[in-house]
Amino acid sequence: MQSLRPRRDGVLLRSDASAFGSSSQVTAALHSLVESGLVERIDRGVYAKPSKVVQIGRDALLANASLRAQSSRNQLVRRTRRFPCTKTAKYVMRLAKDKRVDFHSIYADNWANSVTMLAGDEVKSDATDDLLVALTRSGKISPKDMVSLLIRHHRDLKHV
Amino acid sequence: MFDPFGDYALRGYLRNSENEKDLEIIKIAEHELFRAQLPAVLDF
Repeated sequence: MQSLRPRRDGVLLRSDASAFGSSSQVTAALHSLVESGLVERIDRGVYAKPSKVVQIGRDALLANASLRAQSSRNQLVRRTRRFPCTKTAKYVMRLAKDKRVDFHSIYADNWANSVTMLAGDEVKSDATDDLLVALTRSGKISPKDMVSLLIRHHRDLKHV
Repeated sequence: MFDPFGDYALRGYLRNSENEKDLEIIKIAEHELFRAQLPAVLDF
């Protein structure tokens, strides 16, 4: 419910709530919020706090909503670019999920990047590389398997 | 290119396990392996 609250700008997008359940469940939850007067529907998929509608006005809120929706779309595009969906990338993502491993950047990443750069190379890691590093650090795959998957992933990328 | 074994065409760069010849991919693999193993090396 906390996550469903409108943000500081007073706007709640239907897409903000889409991860909480099925489409019909989200519709029912939003309908219930509207019924109880917690939010007001100002356009298709756009809700706002009634006090904000009075304070800021419907048009300004819709402009905010449009900016937020655009920003979400851009984020999705960036995420898709960062996580190119090769067969190997999908496999690594599933493996990391199964093993409950997530990548968190640590000091060693900055250190390694600096050393690689000082050696005259520049490598930009994508999300699959990061997950493979995390899986290896946590001992879920061997360094040899990591290299094998990594090379396969980058071969796939070159052929996409 | 560094090819001390003289078999780059057959076995890839420095006889790597995947027989990879693409130096760009090799560079990425070296870097990621370095990243993955650096914490364990520092703890040793």
